[in-house]
Amino acid sequence: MKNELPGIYIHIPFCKTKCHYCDFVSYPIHKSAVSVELYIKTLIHEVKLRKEWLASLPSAGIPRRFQSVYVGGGTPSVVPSGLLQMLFEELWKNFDITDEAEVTIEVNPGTIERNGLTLYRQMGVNRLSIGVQSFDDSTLKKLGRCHTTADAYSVINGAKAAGFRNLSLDLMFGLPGQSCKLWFDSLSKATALSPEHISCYELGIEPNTPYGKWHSQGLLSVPTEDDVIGMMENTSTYLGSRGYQHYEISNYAKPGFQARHNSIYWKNGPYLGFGCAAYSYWQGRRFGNVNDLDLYRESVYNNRLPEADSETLDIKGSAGETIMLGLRLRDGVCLKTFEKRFGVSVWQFWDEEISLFTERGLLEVSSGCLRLTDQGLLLANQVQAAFV
Amino acid sequence: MRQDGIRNFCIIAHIDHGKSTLADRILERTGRVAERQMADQHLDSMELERERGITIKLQAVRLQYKASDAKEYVLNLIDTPGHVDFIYEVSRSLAACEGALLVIDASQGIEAQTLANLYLALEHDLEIIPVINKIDLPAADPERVKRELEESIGIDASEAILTSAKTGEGIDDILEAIVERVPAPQGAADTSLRALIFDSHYDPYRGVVAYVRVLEGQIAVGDIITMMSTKKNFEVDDLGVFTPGMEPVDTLSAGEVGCVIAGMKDVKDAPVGDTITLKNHPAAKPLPGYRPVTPMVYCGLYPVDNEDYPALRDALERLRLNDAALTFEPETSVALGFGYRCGFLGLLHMEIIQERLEREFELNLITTAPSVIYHLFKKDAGELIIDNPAMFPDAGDIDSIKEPFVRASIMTPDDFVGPVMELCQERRGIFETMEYVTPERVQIVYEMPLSEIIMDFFDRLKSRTRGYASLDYEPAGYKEANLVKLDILLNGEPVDALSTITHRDNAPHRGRSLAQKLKDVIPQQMFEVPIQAAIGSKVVARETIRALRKDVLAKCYGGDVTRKRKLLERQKEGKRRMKQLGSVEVPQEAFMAVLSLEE
Repeated sequence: MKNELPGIYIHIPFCKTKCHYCDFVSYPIHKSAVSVELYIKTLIHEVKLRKEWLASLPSAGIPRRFQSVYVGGGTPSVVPSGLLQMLFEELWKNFDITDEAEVTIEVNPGTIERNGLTLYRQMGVNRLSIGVQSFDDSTLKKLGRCHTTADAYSVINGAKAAGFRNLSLDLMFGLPGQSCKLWFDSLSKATALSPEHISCYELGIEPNTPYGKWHSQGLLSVPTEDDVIGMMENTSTYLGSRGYQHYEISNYAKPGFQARHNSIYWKNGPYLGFGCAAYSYWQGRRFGNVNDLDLYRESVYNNRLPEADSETLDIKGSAGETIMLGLRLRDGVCLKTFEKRFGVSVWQFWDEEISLFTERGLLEVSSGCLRLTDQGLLLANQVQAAFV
Repeated sequence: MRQDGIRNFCIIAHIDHGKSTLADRILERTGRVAERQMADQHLDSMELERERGITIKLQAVRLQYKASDAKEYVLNLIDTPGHVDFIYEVSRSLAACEGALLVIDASQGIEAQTLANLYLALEHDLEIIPVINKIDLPAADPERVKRELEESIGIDASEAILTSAKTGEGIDDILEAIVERVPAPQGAADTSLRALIFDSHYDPYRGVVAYVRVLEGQIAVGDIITMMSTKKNFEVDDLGVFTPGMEPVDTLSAGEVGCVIAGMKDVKDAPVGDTITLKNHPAAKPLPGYRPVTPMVYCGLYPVDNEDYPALRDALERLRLNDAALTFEPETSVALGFGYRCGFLGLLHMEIIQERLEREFELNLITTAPSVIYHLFKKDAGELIIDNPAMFPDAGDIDSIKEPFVRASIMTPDDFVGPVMELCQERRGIFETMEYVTPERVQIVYEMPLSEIIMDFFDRLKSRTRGYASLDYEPAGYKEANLVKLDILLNGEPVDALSTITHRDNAPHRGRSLAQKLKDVIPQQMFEVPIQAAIGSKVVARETIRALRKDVLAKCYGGDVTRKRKLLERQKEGKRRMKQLGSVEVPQEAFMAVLSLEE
């Protein structure tokens, strides 16, 4: 089955500027000690190392054909297309990637080159994930984004002109100073462009960010919990009525356009990650590359895989993670697939938990799947915690 | 040993003023450092400990010192604990000495604890040697400290010794001062034995080790001794002095300090403050000042997980071996299940035991709010002794209630007299006396309900006097009071473990503060939880914990899985530490909420 094939993730840990809310691993592109060119060359080397590693593993039933490639960041669009092409060539040379593979690049509207989109298209990229975040310029400014709505329109229209038929827009809500009206204004501008996929992320305030600092100092006026809940619920209704299916906590897609690569994560399927701070999940082992650029480069050039941490869970641990992730999907966890994979039913492990949350109306079994109810969706952590 | 060659002294100091470093330097200068290091290593080694058959507690160290008069002296350094809960133990240690080093940080100056301990030392007629320590610090201002000494406690500052325990400067002066100024012990050696027990501990191999100061007479290995409070007899197996490893001796005579091992199985056989005499040649009267340890404060200790109940009992039994003041009885709570009602000297003692149970025995516990012992008189004539608010009968059945009072003596700089008196009045204190100890220091005495003292009184006192006030208290009998039981209902269900006893006039206010506090400490649940405070059937306060409506993470992609799972694991672990009361999950601190109410 195609949807059981693994995916490939490539991390580009550079940004032109760091947004005020972001706590991901990324380095300012102009101040970084390791140049983008050097980084891509290192990545290419890692691809070769990883190929040898894969060849040395016993097969263990995981297919070695890949159904997706996802370039994320950071800001992948800061990488000149030529360098990205070198990387892609190496990747396709070393790994068996299907012809129909979903190939996605994250694009920041403020960084894309004029002819970049066409080159992406020629390289085989068939899906763009565009970090629009908001269609309101003052909101973008407050977020510390390095682009305007005009940039976003230009990228989206340019992508369509370049022949892209699978676009995803990222939007954020629950932002400081953002009213419900302002949020739905952005949402309607997004749907007017008719992208195939929309991600709507609630702002999370992370401690080690400027937002975290300002929030603790009482300088951010974030919407009330009631307002945020209102935004969430109405978003689902609004997008639903416009043909977007709510298929994951924060993700909406037109039929047939659910993100295939990201769905691997939510189904707890296998993937290989390349690059600084990239994670992999392979044969039940989850492992991550080092966060530090210099250490990453040093390790790869010494022909050592740059793994910094690694974890293998027991059956119940893996099964729990599978539920934790699967409950993010509106369809939930398919019970048959689960039983086939782990050799037990969910009730054998979590009978009490499931009946408790079912009684409380947060969890249900429907169409052979264990899933969160609409009410349960808002309290996902409470339910998921019972399974880890 | 000749008494004029002995000096018994202790060191009193505010915390952080350098007491232990100074003690180290003194040990070093008297040639004990090598042995001390050895002793430390011994402490680390179970095997050696077994061979030696004794655990070492550096409670009293014997030092040899050759003074400038060319004579050899034995200096006994006796350690003191330092908190109001253990003030009785401190007073017994001081009673074993003739002199005290009063250590003051040259940069900090005199502080509350310094004074509290100093006054205690003066009560025991100890010779005080002021030591101004840390003079090496850039911020040191010894002249200011000298002025403080003269002005606030009337000590002749020319007697103060300037020292730096860090560099070793002034240590010789201290040793000389001890020899010159601290009086030699004076008790007769040829009369009936009277030895003061100033500390004791339980050793798993030897039984109880009692630390004593022989005031009069002599004790020898093989003697049959009598504990004058319990009249129990024991045969002396061993006597020792600490140098700092234990060295056996055959006798201890008037003026000497050492330890007695006599087959005692329980620390209650060697109560602190008791007098040891000889069975065949008993003293007519015990030494003054013995006070049997009686718990003043009670609370319930419950395992969060009911399966830990036997483990809790074992742990309490282990701790009691070394702690004569700890008592416990099984009890049950509707809300919390099986647990123990435990008695303590005070709040700090309670906290120490609670922490040891959690740390050393890895128990996950719920502590209920502390209570005193009430005497209830029922209309149908019966009297009840109650140490647990949950056991209070219906208000209609109660004729009268008496509660324990204490005489609280507060020492404060005169600037804070107003705030201190205000606090005492708020806590139902009855003014007794006020006197100026020096032009700037005032001693205020109030009779107060003990229950008000254990409700964070000490913290409030400290905060209202910028840390300068010190507190001591002693029991002052029972008095009738207009008390009521304040109940708490969660989700409509009364929670017995949250009931408290309070004065009727304060009840509505306390009910409101408690409900608000509980609203803050109990996390949102997946449904709305009403909190009510009630006296009988009358609800005096109501708060509502809103239902948790949203708890969801926006993103979870490939690199987030482990982090996200660990986050959820922590969330789950937090729940595990909570007590399930009906369908409400209540964290441990809720049961102590009454102790930290807003004023």
